[in-house]
Amino acid sequence: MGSIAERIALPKRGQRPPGDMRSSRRARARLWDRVMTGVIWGIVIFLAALLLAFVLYALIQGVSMLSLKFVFGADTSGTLVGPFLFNTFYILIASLLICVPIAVFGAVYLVEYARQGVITTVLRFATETLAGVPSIVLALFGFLVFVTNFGSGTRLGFTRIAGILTLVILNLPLMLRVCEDALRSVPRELREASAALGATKYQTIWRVMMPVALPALTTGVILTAGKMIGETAALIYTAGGSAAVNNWFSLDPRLPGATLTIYLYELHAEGVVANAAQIQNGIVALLVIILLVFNLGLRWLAGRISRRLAGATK
Amino acid sequence: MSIGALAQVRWPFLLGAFIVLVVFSAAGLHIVGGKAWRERMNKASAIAGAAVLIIAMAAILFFVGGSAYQTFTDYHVSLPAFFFGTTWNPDEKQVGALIMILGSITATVLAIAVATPLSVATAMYVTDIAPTWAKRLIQPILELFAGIPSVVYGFLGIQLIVPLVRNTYNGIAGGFLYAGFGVIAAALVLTFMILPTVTTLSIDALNAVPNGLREASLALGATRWQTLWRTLLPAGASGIFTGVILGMGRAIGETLAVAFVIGSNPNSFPIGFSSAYPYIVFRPTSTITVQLFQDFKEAPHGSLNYDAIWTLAFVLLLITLGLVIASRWISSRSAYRVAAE
Repeated sequence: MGSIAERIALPKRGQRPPGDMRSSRRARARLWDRVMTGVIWGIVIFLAALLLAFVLYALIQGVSMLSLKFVFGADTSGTLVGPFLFNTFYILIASLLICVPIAVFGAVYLVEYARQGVITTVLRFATETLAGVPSIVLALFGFLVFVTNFGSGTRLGFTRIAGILTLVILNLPLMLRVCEDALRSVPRELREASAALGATKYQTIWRVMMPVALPALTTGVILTAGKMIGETAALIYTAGGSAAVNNWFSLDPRLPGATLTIYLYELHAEGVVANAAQIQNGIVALLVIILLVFNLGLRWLAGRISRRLAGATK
Repeated sequence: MSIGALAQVRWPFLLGAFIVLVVFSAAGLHIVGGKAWRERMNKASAIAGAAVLIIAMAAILFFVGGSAYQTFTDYHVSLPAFFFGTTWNPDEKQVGALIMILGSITATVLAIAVATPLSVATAMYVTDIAPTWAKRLIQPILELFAGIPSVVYGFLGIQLIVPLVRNTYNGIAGGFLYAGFGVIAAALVLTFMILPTVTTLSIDALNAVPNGLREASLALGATRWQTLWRTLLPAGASGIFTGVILGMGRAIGETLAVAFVIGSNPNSFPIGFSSAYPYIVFRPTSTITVQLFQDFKEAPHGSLNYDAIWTLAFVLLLITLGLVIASRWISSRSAYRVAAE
C-alpha cells in the first residue's frame, strides 16, 4: 500500500473525484432552484393577470350601461337599479351599526377581561364555528327566526330588518376577529404606561388603546363591509327578492329590500325584464366599481383620517 | 291580542325594545354614575358583546337541528334511504340526497386540489421570493380577490368558465357532447373563491416558522428552493393544512357561484364512465347548497320537501362544524403557532 494521499486519492484541482456526485448535485440543485423560482413567479403573475382580466372583463362589458339614470333611477319595469343600490347600502350601513359595537365590545372582553379558561375557549369555538356556517344555512335560520314564526306565518316578513339581522350574525365572527386583531396590535408598553399612570381599565381601553387601534380597526371594518356588499345567499330568503315598489327610497326597515347582488341573481334566474343581459352586465360592472372604491379608495381615505386622529397618541 | 300572542309574534320588537332600554340605562349610568359605574358598565358591555356570539351560534345549532329530524320521524324516511338514495323527488316522497352530497364533495375536493398548489406557491412567493414592491402589491390583490361577490364569480363563471370547459371537453371528445355545466366548472369557480383564504393562511403559516430554521438551512448550503421545500414547507405544513381545511369549509358552503354553473340536476351523478371515447363523462349535477337554495322557495311549510331541506341544511352544518373542529385540531398540533392565539 502506498501513502495515505494515494490511498484516499485526493482529487486534483479541477478534477471531479471518482464516484463523488457532490458538484453535479450542487449544480442540479442550483438549476432546480432557478426553475422552481421561475415556476413560482409564473404562477403568481398568471393569477394576478387572471384577476386583472376578470375585473377588466366585468368593467368593459358593463361600463357602457352605467349612466346616472341607470345607477340612481327607479322604475317599475326594473331596468334601473337605483332601488337595489339603495337597499345594498341601507342594509350594509344598518348592519354595520349593529355589528361593529357588538364586535368591539366582544373584542374588548377577549383582550382585556377574559382569562384563559372555559369561557374563552367556548367563545373562540363559537366564533370559529359561526364563521364556518355557510351563508345559505344562515339564510334558512334567518327565515325561520326573523322572517316567519318558526316556519309558519309571518314575523317580520321579507324585510330589510330581517336581512340586516341575518347579516349581523353572518359577519359577527369576522368583525370580532378584525377588532381583536386591531386591539392586540396595540403595543404592550402603551397599556402598561397607562396603567402605571393610574388610569383605570376603562380609561386605558377607550382613551389609549382605541385611538391607537383605530387605523387597523377602520381598515378591517371597510374590508368586511366590502364583503358584506357581495352577500346574496343569506339575504335572498330574509330581505326578499324585490324592492319596495313606489317606496323605492323610503327608510322604513319593514319594506322588502333586495340588494344589487340579489337582483343580479333574479335577472339571471327569471330574466323577465327587457334586455336583462345588459342590465346584468351593468350590475356586475357597478359591483366591481363599488368593490374597487371600497378596497382601494376608502381604505386610503380611512388610513389618512385615522392617522390624523391617532396622531396625538403616536 | 293577548300578551302571550303579542309576545309570540312580536318578540323581535320586544327584544329590540329591551335592548334599547338596556343601552339607554347603561348610557345613563355611564354619564351620571361616575367612575365605579363606568368600570362596571364597561365590563358588562364587554361580556354582553361576547355573549351575543355564543348565543347566536347556540341558536343556529338549536333551531336548525330542531327542524332537521322531522324527515325521519314524521315522514318515516329511513336514514339509508336519505343518505344513499339517488332520487330526489320530494313530491313523490323520494328524498335521496346521495348525489348532492357527492356533488358537494367532488366540487370541493377538485377545487382544493387545484387551489392548494397555487396558494402554497403564492405564499412561498410572498414570504421568500417577492421583492418588496411585489409584496406590497399582493396583499390588496388578495383582498380584492376575496371581496368579489359570489354572484359576480357565478356570472363570470357562466360567461368564461363554462364555455372553456365545454370547448375543452368537446375538443378532446371531437364532437358536441357536453354543454359545460357541472362539477368541473363549479370546481374552477370555487378555486378562485378559496384561493385568497388558503393563500392568506399559508402566508401566515410560513411566516410563523422561526427565521432561525431558514437561516440554518441556508447556512448548510441549501438553495432557496431546497430551504422552502425541505424546511419551511414541512415546518409550516400544519398551518397550511388549517388553511386548506378552512378553504374546504368555504367551498362546500358556497351557494350562488355554484348555482350559476352546476346545472342544478339533483338526479344525475357528477361524473360517469362510458365505453366510448373519451370514457369519462361529466353531467349537470347539484350540490347540497344549490338544492337548498333552489328548493327552498317552492317548499311549503309542513311538507316533506321543507323538512328534507332542513335535514340537508343540518347535514351541511355538521360537515362544516367537523371541518372547523379538524382545523382546530391540526393547528393545535403544530409546532410553530400562528401568532393569533
